[in-house]
Formats: sequence, C-alpha cells, structure tokens
Amino acid sequence: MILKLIKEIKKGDLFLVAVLIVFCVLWFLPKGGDGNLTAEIFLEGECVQTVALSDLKEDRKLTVGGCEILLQKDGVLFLHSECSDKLCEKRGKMTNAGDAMACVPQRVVVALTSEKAADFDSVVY
Amino acid sequence: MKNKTKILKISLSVFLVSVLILTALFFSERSKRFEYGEKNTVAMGTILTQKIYSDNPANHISHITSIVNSLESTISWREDASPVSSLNKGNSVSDTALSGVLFSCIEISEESGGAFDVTIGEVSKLWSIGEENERVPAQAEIEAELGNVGYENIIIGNGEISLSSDCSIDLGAVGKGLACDYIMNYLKATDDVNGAVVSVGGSNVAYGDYNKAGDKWRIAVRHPRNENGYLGVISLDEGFVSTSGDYEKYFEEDGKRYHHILDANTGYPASSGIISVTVVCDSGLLSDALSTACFILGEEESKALLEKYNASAIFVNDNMEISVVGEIDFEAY
Repeated sequence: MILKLIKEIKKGDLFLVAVLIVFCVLWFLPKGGDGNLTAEIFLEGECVQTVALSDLKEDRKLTVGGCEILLQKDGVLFLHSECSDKLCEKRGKMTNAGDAMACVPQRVVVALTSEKAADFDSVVY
Repeated sequence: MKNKTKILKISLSVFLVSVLILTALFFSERSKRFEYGEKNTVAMGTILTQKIYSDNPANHISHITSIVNSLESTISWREDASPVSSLNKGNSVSDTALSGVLFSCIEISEESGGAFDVTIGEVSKLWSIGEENERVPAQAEIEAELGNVGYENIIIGNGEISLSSDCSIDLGAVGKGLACDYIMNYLKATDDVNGAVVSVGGSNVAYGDYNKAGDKWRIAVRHPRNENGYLGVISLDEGFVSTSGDYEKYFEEDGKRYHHILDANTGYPASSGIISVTVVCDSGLLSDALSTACFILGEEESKALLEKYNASAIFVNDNMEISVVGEIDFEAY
C-alpha cells in the first residue's frame, strides 16, 4: 500500500514537502547576526566602551585607564600600557569571539563578542 | 478504493508535517537558554569571566567577585596582611581553610616526588617571570634558595601552621583552581542558578545545565603556539578544567624560552618535553595542582598521579603531538 502511495505522489506533493524541509532548516539556523566582531572594554569591571569592529573605516585608538588599545577590523590589541610587566602588550592581537585579555595592573579587560554564537562557552589556558 | 487512497495520502501528509514541526520545536527548545548575565573583570591578578544563567545573574556575579577577592586576600603572598604573607614572615598562623589547602598541596607534592611544591616561593622570586625584573638567576643563587625548599618544612598541628625553614609559600599554582572550588560551593548553595561557567584566569568551573535540555558545556583549549587558536573543545556536564603551559608567562634569552612553571627539584623551568597540559577533574584545586605537576613530570610519569585522583588530561608535547590520558570528551580541531 505504501509503495503504491509513493508511486502516486505528484510534483505538487514533493513541492509541499520541499517547502516544509526548507522551513525547518531555516528554523534551526542561528538567528540574528553575521558573526561580526564587537569589542567590549571593561575598566574596574564596568563596560566603558563597546565598538563594532566591522563598522570601523580605519584603525582606531582608545585610551582606557592607563592603556592604549588599538581596534582593527579583525581584532584588538594593547598598544601600550603604563603597567610594569607589559604582559598585555606581549599578548598581541586577539581575533576570536569568546576570548578576552587584560592588563591586570590597570584593571582593563577587553572581550570580543559576536552576534553569531561561539562554538564554545569558555576558554581554558 | 480511490477514497481510501486519498484518506491515506492526507493522513501521511499530516503525519509528515507534524513530525517536521515537532522536530523544529524540539531543536528550537534545545537552543533556548535561561536568562543570562556575563561580566569580565580583574580579580586575583587575572581575568575573571563569569557567565551565569539565572533570573538574577547580576546578584550572583557580584557575590562571586567578592568570594574571589576575599580568597585572594587570604592566599596571596603579595597581600601584606594575608595569612600566607604572615607565614612567609616566619609567624605561626591559625587558619583552618589555609590548613586544608596546604594539606592537599603536601599530598600532591608527595605523590609527585616533590616536583610540585608550594614552598618554592623564594626561587620563583629570583626568576620573577612575567614581571618587570624577570631574569635568569645565577646557579649559586638558585642552589642557595633551593636548600630551603621542601614541603616537609610546612608544619601543621595544634591548630597552627608554621614553616621550619626560610622557604616561602607561593600558592600561584593552585589559587585559581581553589577559587573555582569556592565558586562551585557558592553555586551549589544557591537555588536560582540554572547554570554557570566561570573562568578564573583560564581555570574553569562549569556548573548546572547549559540550557533547558541539559546539553554539555563546551570549553575550548588554547593552542600553546597560537594565541588566537584552539586545540579543540572539551565537553563536560559539570566539573573543573585547568591548563598549565609554557606560553602564558615566559621570556626568551639567547634564543631559549624560560617559562614560569618551575621544577622544585631543580629550581629551573620544567623541561619534560611537555608544552601544555589540561586536566579535567572534580576539584578545582586538584585540576590546577595536577596540571602543574603533570607539566613538570611529563606524560608517562603523570599517569599514576592522574589515576590516583580520578583525573584526565590532554598533553601536548614540543612536537605538537596531542595525547589524551583518561576519559575526556575532547573534539580536536
């Protein structure tokens, strides 16, 4: 009976099934956002600046606390800090959403986020 | 017959549509998280990142920050008024929580043959790796301080802790993991936190449900030679994850890398051929201490230690070969 039924399936039926499948696939896809990076800059635990990196027409420098931070389309780095250990400067450019770096002595944290969900919840290092 | 076929066709269509819609709803529910709050701040000399799933995340974020700051004031040798500083100045200290921490450290020191040892403080100060005055100390300087190093010099009894040599305690190898233990205890005592993942300077604690379907937490493991890369992702329900690597704090001199994980038997940066160890277990202090011990011991010598504490680890050697010891749900990139 089922085989007979399958044989009787018309083009219209197939079209209906295809529409439903497309609808379901769209439902599963992550909603909102295209994965563009946003830099969130925290001083003493408070977010003092949020910058959409993808909107940058050119590199931008920000001074937060005693840190000079360079914002670029594809990432962010500590250019200079008044700290003594310079670990933040040695870190180099951070480019991944879900990651964070800090100048501990100046109590400045920079976190990268993206509207597109990261593949992970946290990073161990 | 024709009517029967028509009814069957309609029934089959309704069935198919129902299955597709229910599947869509099911996956939609799986991806739905609880209310969420996130905060990045500096605590314990490092980044404290909190991701809390609760109806009132700000309240819990504030509590957790206080817990970490309070712990720092107890265990940091840099805090002049801390019990550890007092101990290092030659005083006897009465602190039950600190006694418990030092007991655990002594046990891991014994199990690792003295490779891991929190009495290495004075040797660490000679190197000062990651600080302004980092340098390669003279052999004689290291030998002079190494004579005072030894976990046997920690005396715990009659409710007091004291040191029997001129060594000093540095809990840097366990402090972040210990903070993760305190955070887990706090989270378990709450009744409105559905899930949380907190990173204390890269040491992680994962608690509760990731989402309403109870999917696993995903913790990415930093690539030891690419600061923006990851080795892969660990999936876990609840627990603690810590990494020790030669890439976080180091300096180079004459083409040689001097990292901050010192072998207490030699006084020099450990050279077991391992460049990164990530440990997963059910205690933050242990995950932190074991990652340091395993880094110093190397993979083969670490296996018994990991087994004893029911812990698992991901080792990366200096040829960038990755191996997993124990049971970890690890997906390599």
